[in-house]
Formats: sequence, structure tokens, C-alpha cells
Amino acid sequence: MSSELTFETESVSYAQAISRATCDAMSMDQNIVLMGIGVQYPSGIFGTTAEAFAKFGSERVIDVPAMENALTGIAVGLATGGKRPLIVHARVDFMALSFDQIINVVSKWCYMFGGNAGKCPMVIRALIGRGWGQGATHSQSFHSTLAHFPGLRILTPYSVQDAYDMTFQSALGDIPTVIFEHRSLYSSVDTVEFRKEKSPLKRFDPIRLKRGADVTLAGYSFAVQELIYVASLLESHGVFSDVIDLRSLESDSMEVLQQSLEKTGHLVLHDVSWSSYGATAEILARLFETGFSRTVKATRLGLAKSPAPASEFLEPYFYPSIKSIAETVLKMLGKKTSETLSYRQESGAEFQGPY
Amino acid sequence: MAEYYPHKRMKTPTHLGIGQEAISVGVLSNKVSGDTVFSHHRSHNAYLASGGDLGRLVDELHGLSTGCSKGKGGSVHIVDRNAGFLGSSAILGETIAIATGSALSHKISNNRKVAFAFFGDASLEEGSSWESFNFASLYSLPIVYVCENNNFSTESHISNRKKLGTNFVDKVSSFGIVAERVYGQDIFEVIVKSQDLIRHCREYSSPIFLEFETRRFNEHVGPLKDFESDKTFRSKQEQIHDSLQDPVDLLFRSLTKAFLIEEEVLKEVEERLTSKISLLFEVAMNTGVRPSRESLLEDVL
Repeated sequence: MSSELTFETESVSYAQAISRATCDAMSMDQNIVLMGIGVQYPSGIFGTTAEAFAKFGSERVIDVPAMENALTGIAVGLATGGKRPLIVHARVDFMALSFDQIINVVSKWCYMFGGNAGKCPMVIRALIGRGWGQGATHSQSFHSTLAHFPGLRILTPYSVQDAYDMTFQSALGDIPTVIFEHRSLYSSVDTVEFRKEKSPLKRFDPIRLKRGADVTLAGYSFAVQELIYVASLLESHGVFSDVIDLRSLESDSMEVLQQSLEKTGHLVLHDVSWSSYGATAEILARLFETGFSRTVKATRLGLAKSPAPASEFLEPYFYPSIKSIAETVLKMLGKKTSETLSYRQESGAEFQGPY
Repeated sequence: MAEYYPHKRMKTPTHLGIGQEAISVGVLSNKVSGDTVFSHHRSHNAYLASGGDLGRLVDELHGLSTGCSKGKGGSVHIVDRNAGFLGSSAILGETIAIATGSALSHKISNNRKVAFAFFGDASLEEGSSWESFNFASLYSLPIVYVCENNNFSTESHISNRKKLGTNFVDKVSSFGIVAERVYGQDIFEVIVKSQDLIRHCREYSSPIFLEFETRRFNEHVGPLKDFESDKTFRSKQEQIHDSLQDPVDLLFRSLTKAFLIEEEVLKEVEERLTSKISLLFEVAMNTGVRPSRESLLEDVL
């Protein structure tokens, strides 16, 4: 039998990829039920649920009142009945209301009954916001927070392909999974292979997107896009970067990072959240535990240590800019930061609200 | 269980349901195969009344690998899927939502099964319980909400937690859910009052709410009476008064009074059950199988 599999490919947006993955998974497994506030709206969570609602109707695409905690418990109850709930929070911040169920029930369901209550197949999609005055409670992320608890898969898709694969595989998998989607990536377009493979245990390990010998730039979600811009900018200044998409918080594979660092000796980690006690701190800790044959310099970037401000005059100081990231890299490499460093102010985050 | 607790071999916080037995037994006499049951932390009554395996419960309390949750759950996280008892949890209100989801699953499957949610009065102080009632009412779900109102949340009396003159039945009724308050110490009353409503719930896929007035005989957690454990919120006098309403005594008295069964026969049954139960405890204590070190990391994902 030929090992070559061919998949349908098409150029789609991040949002379309999620929508397509949802529909593909729902067609393959009749037990998948999509729930959330706004899943039946014509706008359908920025276009990610409208297609599923049109296709599967209100029996399987269920709009709910504002009830994040009970909704998550209801999803557990559905799972005990053999269903596969896929729930959506249009803004990740609202998911905070469901932390009791996520932390005390979902992550522990399988374990605390010794497996005798069954697994808890469930996917929670949560959208990270950014900019345009959304302020303190509409532009944060909880990926590091939830990764602290054993029993959950935490995924942070950057690429359009991952947006498809992660949604599709999680929806068909048996492990409770939280997918953090970044709103600023929703309109990015790429060619996607619609890999309708049911391989729920495939781990999403870090991958290298760009090759260079001087510095390793690694990040999560939208931060990867910023790092790619920075890498391109630095090339014109003679600095070449390895850019690594860390992809998930489930992976303990440090291989790609290690190989890169053995070569570059310099690491800049970037995240869409605060760096303290966060995912990038975990990466550094693991690298430190692993050890290197050479000295490695490392630094972390992320949000300023304040809640997100609403004012357009403060936001530029809250989010690292392409310029500030580039300057951090140059400084680390001991290069003079060029006064004439040319850059595009923002990189895909030019979204003009309101959400 | 209370008698064996002082052996200190059951190292798990255990919330005994002594005094509240008639509720689970009466309500779940309406349960059919395929129905699903969820419970709060005072979980043993609903587990056993569902038909949950007693030996595996005893083993669970002793932390054994033969326990219903392989020793990983303890008293508050128990399960027996063969009996339709799908789980219990320690945080108030959680299983109200989970049972509501189970009812949604029944409704989607159109299988004419119902979900039962057992919980205490303090669970009605949690927001997600009301989120669940709203949802069950909105989607007309086949769920039986069973409130075991024993007037106490750990050591605090309900009057410290609920405005005098308000009541749960009115509040829940306002959601469009049929709700009734029933005396929960008399099993015949529990059965008579619950069976029509549960039939209605099953027939029309419509949520119902039953509030049972009941008495907790022991301290919140542990084998003692409140006054024995130096917890002063309930006097000895009050507890003696409460124990006059023992549902098992009431049942025995009713049965003998109606000449349905002789006292001697009841005594014999009681003795036989006691020795059977004692044996389970002895076996668990003396020859129980401990979970292996490897099992620590099993079933995490």
C-alpha cells in the first residue's frame, strides 16, 4: 500500500480553516456538538461557526445564555453521555468564569475516578484579543495559567495549517483540550492541506519556520508572526535568525530549540501574554535543566507588567513593537542598534475594531 | 462506616449521609436502566441507592486499587457506571451543571432517559446552579433536581445564608420549573410525592425540582455527632430531637405497625446486613490490594 497520502489543498484564512476543521470533524463524528454564546449568530464567532450552523442546524450547534461555568459542566455531562462537546468563548477573558469546571473537573475527570468514569473528550476554543482599545478584560490569554494543571492539552496555533489540524484533531480526540486562537491571526491566509487524519495523539512539537545562524527567535501564537517580521527586518542588517513556532504547551520536546541554540547561542522568547511565571519561563527552565555544550544567552519578551490599557496612546508601550523586538535582538548580539532601523510599525495587528 | 472510621484506616474526608437515606432510596426507586445519577460530596447514599457496588466503595475509602475510583478519588469522587452513577464531586454546584449536561445528552439522543442531580442546600448559593436551572428550563431538559436541605452548610445554619421568608421552591419555580417541597424522612412520602413528577419529567422532557426537608445526623465531615466533636452549633438536645426522625426507624415502625413484617424478621435482616458489611471492612483493612507506584501517573490524560 502506498504510504503517500494526498490531501485536498486550498488557500484559506485562519478563520476559514477553523470553520472548515469544525465542519469536517462534525461530518466525521455525529457526536460532536458545538456550543457557545453566538455560535448561531449570522456572524458566527467571526465566521468560524456560521458554516457549521448552516450545515448541522440547531440540534448540533447550540447557542447558550451567558453561563460559562455551567456550560463547561454541561459539556462534561455531555461527554459522559458519549457526546463530544466543542465549546467556544469569543473572548478568552469570559472563560475565567469557567475556571472552576476547567480546573476542578475537566482536567481531573479521567484521573480522579481512576479512569472508571471514562475520559472527558472536550474542546474549548478561546479567542485572544488585542489592541484597538479593548483594554484590560478583552485582550489577555490564559494559556500559561491552564498549562499548569495536569490533564489538559493546551494548544496555541499560529499557522493556518495548525488552526485546521489542531481544531480537527482535538475535536476527534479523547483528551480535554483548550485551543487559544489569536484574533489578530484570523485574516492571515495560507495554503492548507485538509488532512482528515484521525490521529488525536499526535503531539504538536515546536517547528522551525526560518533558518539562520545568528539568533534563535521562538514564540507562541501571534508572537510568531511578529518574530517572522523581525527576522526579515534584521536580514537587511546582516543578522540571520532561526524562527521557531513553539505551537503548544503540551510538548516537552526541546530538540528543535536545542539544536538551534547549539548553533546560535542566543535565544529570544516571545509570548502574547506576560512573561512572568509564563510559558516562556517554562521553556527556559527546561533548557536549563537540559544543559548545553556552549554558553547560551537568553531573554524573554511579552506584555508590559500592567493590565492592558485602553488608550491608543498607551497601547504602543504595552505591546512590544517590531522595532523594540529588533532592538532587543541587536543589543543581545552586541550590535549597535541602527538609528535608521527601518520597520513596519505593526505586523498584522492593524485590525480596526470594534470586535 | 462511622464505627470503622476510628480505626484510622480510611484516610479520606468522609461526609456521612446518615439521616438522609430516604431521599436517595425513594427518588431513585424511579430510576430505570440508562438513567444517570450525579451527586455532591455527601455521595454515598445516592451511590448505593443507584445500585453502586458497596465493596468497591469500602475499598475506595481505604485507598485501594480495587476501589471504585482505584483509590484516586476518595469518598467525594466515586463512580459506578454499571449502576448509572456517573460521578460525584466536592465543589458545590459542579454536578448540578454536569447532570444538566447529561440530561442534554439524553435529549439529543431522544432516549427517554432522565438525569438525577443530588445536592445540598448550600449548592443553591452557587451561581452556576442557577445558570443550570435557566438552561434546563430554556431547553426543556429531562432532569430531576434533588435538593437535600438539611439546614446546614458545614457548620453554618441556613438562616445565616438565606433571607428569612424566601424559599427555594418559589425561586426555582420562577424559572418555569415544576418545584415541590417534601418531607424527606418518610420514605413513603418521598416515593409518593416524587413518582408522578418524575414520570412527568420523563414523559415530557421537562425539568423538575424536589426539595426535601431532611436531617443530617453527624457532623459535616467525620463519624461523630456535632457535640461529640466539640462543634457547638447544634446542641445535644437538638440532635436528639433530630434523631427521632431517623428514616430507617420510621420505615421499620411503619412496616411493623401495618403488620407487613414482623420485628424479629427485621432484626434478622439488619444483623445479616451488618455482618456482611463488617466483612467488607475487615477485608479492606486486612487484605486489601494497594495501588502500585506506577498507577500514580495512569489516567492523567
